[in-house]
Amino acid sequence: MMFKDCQMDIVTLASAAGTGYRLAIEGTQTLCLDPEGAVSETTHAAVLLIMNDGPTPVQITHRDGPIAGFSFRANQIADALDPRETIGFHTGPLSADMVKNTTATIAPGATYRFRGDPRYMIQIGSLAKRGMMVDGSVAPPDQRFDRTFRISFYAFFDLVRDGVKTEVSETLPAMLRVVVRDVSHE
Amino acid sequence: MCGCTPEPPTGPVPANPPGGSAAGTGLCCACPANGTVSTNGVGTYFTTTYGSTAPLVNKCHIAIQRTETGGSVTIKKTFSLTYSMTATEAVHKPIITAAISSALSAWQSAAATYRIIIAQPGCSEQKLNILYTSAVIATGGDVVVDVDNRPAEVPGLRSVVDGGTAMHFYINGDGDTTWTMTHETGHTFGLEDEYAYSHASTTAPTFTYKGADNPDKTVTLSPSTIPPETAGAHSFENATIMGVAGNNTYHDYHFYWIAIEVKKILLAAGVNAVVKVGLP
Repeated sequence: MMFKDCQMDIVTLASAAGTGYRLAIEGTQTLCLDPEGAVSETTHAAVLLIMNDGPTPVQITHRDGPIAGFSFRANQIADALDPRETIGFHTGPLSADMVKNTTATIAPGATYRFRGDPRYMIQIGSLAKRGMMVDGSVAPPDQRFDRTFRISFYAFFDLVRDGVKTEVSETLPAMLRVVVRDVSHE
Repeated sequence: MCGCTPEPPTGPVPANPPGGSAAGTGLCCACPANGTVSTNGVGTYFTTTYGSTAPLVNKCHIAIQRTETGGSVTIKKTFSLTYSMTATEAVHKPIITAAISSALSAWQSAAATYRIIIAQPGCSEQKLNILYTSAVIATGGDVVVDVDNRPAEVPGLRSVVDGGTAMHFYINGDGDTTWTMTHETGHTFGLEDEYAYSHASTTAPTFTYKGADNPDKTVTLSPSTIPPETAGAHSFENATIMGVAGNNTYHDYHFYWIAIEVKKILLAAGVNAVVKVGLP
């Protein structure tokens, strides 16, 4: 795909269902990256949708603030061609005063939107713009400006319905195609 | 002057010439030495029962200056800066340069509690001060820092080191700039995180720092009040610069890597010395 033809349409990337609720990950399935652009890739980070399919309201509690990623994050990123190698990185530790929870009530039939840790998009963008594979090698020519990443999203929060608490823990795989503008030929 | 005619030497040539990079002579007690470091800290400096196996490569230069009983070990790490998301050299280079300088000052202040102790055969024991210096250079630094000026996000962005030699630093990210840079430069020296937020077992995880000639040091992480980040997991931490945000505790094992590298440099110069981290 040429960069000029690249479009970022928001779609459902993955979904899962439990008793009385559904989860969906919403985001772009194609990331159009301009190496000279100033738009943050995180703008296009996926969002977790929690839908209440049950007959009564549910209360959810998820991690928020600096630890939002504990409740929704991409915990594995790999090249679609080589899913064995995943991005590994060392980030900073946390202190107890960073712990924050958010509780929300979802009415029957309603949907709650939650944005977790968006940094995975920066990592993907950095690799794609530099033409590097996840394992640190140089991307092959046919992958340099158009490639696909395999992402494993993870959702983890508490859900209370009618006084009964359920710990929701779901791993949802998705794919993200990344098209990079080739500035060397312009 | 003895007045006699010298005789030419006789007999067989000695079997083997002296070996080693210093021709087998070794360094004199106060001779300087130096070397370039490029070591993956994972497995070389430490092992853990919880960490990632992703490499943490420590690149730097070490200069050893010795007197009869003292001297210094100077660690110099160079940094190259790239700029993204509206960050500019004019505005942000001074900020990051100052943060790097403050971070290495913090490491040096912490190291002032300890000495690199060298026991070279035939020499007095030497206790060397540990000094950290840095330089920001145009390209080819030991560490490449991508300075990112994207606006603060919700949730906040936390800076990160990948592989030990690539840092992504968010100017508007979470946390104190100097503390964050100090922690992240710790990774660039090949040091591991001292926390585990998704440990599968209730048995506390451990890490072990290897001593050059100090006994290896194993530390057991303590239960943390940070909630686990995966279902059924358990959180642990160690209250140090590498384990808890904002903490400024350092231990001798944070400097064990220096003794390992000093020992290597001396060995390359033909000296098999005992090298430890110890008190003044």
